[in-house]
Amino acid sequence: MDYNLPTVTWFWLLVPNLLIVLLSLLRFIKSKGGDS
Amino acid sequence: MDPVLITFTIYIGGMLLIGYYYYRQNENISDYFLGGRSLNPFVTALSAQASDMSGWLLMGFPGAIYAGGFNGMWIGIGLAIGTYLNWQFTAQRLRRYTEVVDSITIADFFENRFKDKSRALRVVTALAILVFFTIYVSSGLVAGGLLFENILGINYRLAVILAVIVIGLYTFLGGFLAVSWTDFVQGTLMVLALLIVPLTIISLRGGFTEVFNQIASINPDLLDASKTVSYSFANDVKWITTSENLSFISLISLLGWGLGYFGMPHILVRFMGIKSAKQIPISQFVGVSWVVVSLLGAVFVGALGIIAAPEALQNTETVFLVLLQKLFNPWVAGVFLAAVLAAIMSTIDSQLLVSSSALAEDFYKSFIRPDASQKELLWISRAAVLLITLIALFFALSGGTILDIVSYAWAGLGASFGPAILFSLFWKKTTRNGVLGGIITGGLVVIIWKNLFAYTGLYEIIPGFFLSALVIYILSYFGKDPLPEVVKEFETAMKPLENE
Repeated sequence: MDYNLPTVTWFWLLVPNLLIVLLSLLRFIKSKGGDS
Repeated sequence: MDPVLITFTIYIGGMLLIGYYYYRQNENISDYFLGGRSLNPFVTALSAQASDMSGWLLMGFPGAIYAGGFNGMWIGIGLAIGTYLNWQFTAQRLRRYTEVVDSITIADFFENRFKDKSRALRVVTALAILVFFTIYVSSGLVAGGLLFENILGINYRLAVILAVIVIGLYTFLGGFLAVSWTDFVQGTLMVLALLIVPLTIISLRGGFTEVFNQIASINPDLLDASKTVSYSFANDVKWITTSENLSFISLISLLGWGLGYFGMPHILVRFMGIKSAKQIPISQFVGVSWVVVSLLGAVFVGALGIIAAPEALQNTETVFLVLLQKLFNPWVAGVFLAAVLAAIMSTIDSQLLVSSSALAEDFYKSFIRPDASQKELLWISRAAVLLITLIALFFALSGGTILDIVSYAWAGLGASFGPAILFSLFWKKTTRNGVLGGIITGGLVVIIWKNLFAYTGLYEIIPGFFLSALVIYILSYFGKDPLPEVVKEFETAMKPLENE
């Protein structure tokens, strides 16, 4: 699914952004468990 | 009456009403500056992000992508990572520490954290805030001017003055709670605009593949984040590839924007205003998601402008405004143009608030009238808002692009305060002299680098930030050990507080 966008563009556009959202979600879920 | 104007008027009226409502509720200076630490986590999240993202997000940044293609996205990636790191590491600790040492502003925090009786830290902090925020506020007025000029078809100078009146008035009235609540509304509007506008254009243009093909037909290097393209309105061929690959210095300069976050007083005070440090993780998730969606949206607005703007743009920073006015129904365009105003206002108001606290608390109360009553301070703060706005107005009328002005102020604040905040929060041995030296070094290196070494292509925040950190480290390492009281407070602030 590269939509004609060069790999360097879509990879760096998506991966770091998804990763930080995911890590933030994990921290939130963990904090619900009682340990913030 | 023009639908755009009607939407705009309703929007501004609503914001002023919120300002007025809280104007009647502010009883003391802590309410005005910190809302008595009463914010819920969603308001904290969106107000932190909306205060952060200014007219830069809807004008300066898409303008850079429009002119240079996808390589501008590196700024966005740096900022997204910086936002994440700031929430992850700074927010909770700063919220706790400022409660332990009973501080409502960044200058208070430094002074109380290091038990500085000399006032030197307070003065240097306030000075750096005043200098760089006045520059920053002027970028917002430039953005406001461009917006009103475009929508109302009036002369730029008049447009800037109109922006000053609207923005000054409601910060003047409402203070922190008003600003936080209007920021919340404005943050929602901004992210909607940045989602809906690019998605609509992409579907109108036949989908992603088609859009990328069309951009590639103008210059395929526009799609490649490792290539540099330059834009010239005057040439027949507007977009020309300038060199094969993005240099390492350019790449770290773009990513380096993210370093600025640790030192942005107008964002850090949002962390301090949240009701409990325990709520930071939910705010973080909301805030980081907001920033990722908004930055991606802004990248696509700029890229789509290359093919969807009806003609080449003389001022590339108007790309979002032009797309809205040409492609959308005027009622819809009116709402989203209000989002641009939202972006501008939600940043400027927070910055004005921080700067006015520097004048009222750090200069007036500290040096002129230590016995000033709460009411008197409230009025001095309001007068300070007006004064700073007027000085920024002067800068705004003397020119410059939004991106350039923001990048200077951003570097100045980030390099002055970023290392100082990080060391204060994370290293027990940090000393007052270290932080004092760090703030001065960071601010001065940015100013000197910008004026003498800009030709190197290295963004001034990078030398400023690292030299500031080095000075803090060296002065603290060789300095006297901190007082036992300071160490005790440091340790208290590292753990959840009793009242959480």
